[in-house]
Amino acid sequence: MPSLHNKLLFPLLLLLSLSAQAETRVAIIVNSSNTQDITLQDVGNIYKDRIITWDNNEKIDVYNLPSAVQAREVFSRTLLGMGARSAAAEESNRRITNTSRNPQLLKRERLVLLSVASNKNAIGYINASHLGQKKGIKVLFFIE
Amino acid sequence: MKRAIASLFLALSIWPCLAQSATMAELEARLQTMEEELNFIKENDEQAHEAIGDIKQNMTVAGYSDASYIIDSRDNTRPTFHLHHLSLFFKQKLNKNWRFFSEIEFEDAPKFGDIDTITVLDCGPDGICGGGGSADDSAKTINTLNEAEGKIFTEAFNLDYTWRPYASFRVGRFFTPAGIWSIDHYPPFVSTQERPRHIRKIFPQTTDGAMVYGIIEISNHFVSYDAYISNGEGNSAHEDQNTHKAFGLRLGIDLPYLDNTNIGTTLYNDLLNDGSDKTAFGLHAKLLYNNYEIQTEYADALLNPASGSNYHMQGYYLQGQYHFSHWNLGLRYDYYTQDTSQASDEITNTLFTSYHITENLNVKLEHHIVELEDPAHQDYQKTIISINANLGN
Repeated sequence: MPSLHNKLLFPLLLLLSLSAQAETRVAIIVNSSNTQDITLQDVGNIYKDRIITWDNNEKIDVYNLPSAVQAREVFSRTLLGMGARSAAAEESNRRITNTSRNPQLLKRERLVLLSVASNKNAIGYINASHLGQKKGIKVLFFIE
Repeated sequence: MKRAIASLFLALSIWPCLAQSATMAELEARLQTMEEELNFIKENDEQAHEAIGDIKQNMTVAGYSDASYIIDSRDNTRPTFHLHHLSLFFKQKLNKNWRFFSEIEFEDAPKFGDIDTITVLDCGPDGICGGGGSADDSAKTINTLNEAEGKIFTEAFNLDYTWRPYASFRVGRFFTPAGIWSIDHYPPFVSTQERPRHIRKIFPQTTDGAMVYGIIEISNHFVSYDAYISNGEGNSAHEDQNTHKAFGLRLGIDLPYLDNTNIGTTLYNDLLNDGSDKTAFGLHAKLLYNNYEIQTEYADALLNPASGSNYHMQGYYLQGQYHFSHWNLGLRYDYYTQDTSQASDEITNTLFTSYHITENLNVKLEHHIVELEDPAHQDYQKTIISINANLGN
């Protein structure tokens, strides 16, 4: 016979995890030296392989997250109009058909943060909770 | 006294946690420092390689494979396991502008037997053998395989030079840029193992030649193009059998008001080795809206033979899919005729579903109902269960 404590704990944890998912806040980041005006539409076009260079003709280094990461689901649904798995499959398809003009770099969230901070041509996105006080990055947008 | 003991007990209980959290914080700080250093070294290493155009960067090996179980209703066919593809991709970025790509395909798990030595007539440079040939016709011995199953095929082998976003150059063997399925054809990423019937018949599967391609942004519209010149159909990789070069153009536009919608057209002209002039035209469209996806292609080729009357080859399909969670469910109607003036219509209705274990691994189930107008061939049904893996990136 489960105790009252156990009975309450499970729904509470479920509620917490659902609210955490619903409230995933994603920060789209570039290097702090990047002064280009970038719209949300531009970000989507960069991740769809339509835009591959910055205004100064330097190639964009596009950092992405594994498809199982919640921030990628939020990012893909909001900016790419598809789920994270579909977006990852599209990127894999571009690579396998040799039609990817600017292959994306897949890293964990903390490494995306470090990579963007140390690379003036980088763009990435991470769960906003990982931002901390990291220097060298500029937040372009928050999405959720 | 009791309060003092209780306080002491509490302090002793909390102390390991505090000590542990301090250790965790230290470890996390050290880990972060190490990651920063590692990242810095890696980035600098990559930049150094690019700056000096170093060709010693690692070659990437990737690939895909698929295996099926096929049940075919035609006479004299048995349910069978089909080990269809094992393809290996070798890719290398040579410097910031140049990259190499190749695909070696092992189809139907190839196996080759012993070598036999046979005698053949060397036909000489004029290509005419025997009595009518030139004086250098002579008998010679060559090695040949007395048994072979499956095939090994160089599907792609090319070098790319990226100049600007709107202009890159490719030379070598590449998939003919035509419609959608000619390019997006790999089993891990297409809805069915069986392709629409007109694919590879109206536009050739691969092309040996040179191409310029890119994407141009025109007031928020992205227009992609691929323009190429090649040896054309039916030629080996080392010699064009006719003096005419094939040329083709594929245009596509991403529509801004329906995101993930692409429409386009394909043009192609070639003088075939039998003397026929082939001019082909195609239209394609793909729409992804929420979980719904519609894909369609139409292609028509006008063939003008050296003798005899003109005729058309024609094909089209319309495919709808619904994506939910790990599943896809869809239907396709497919039509093809190799000669519109003959009784050669081929109609296929397909019902399919797939389950994506990951984005690079899926299991498919598809059922095809095929109706053939030609009375010499019987209608049939085919069911395929397959597993498809994309290996590496």
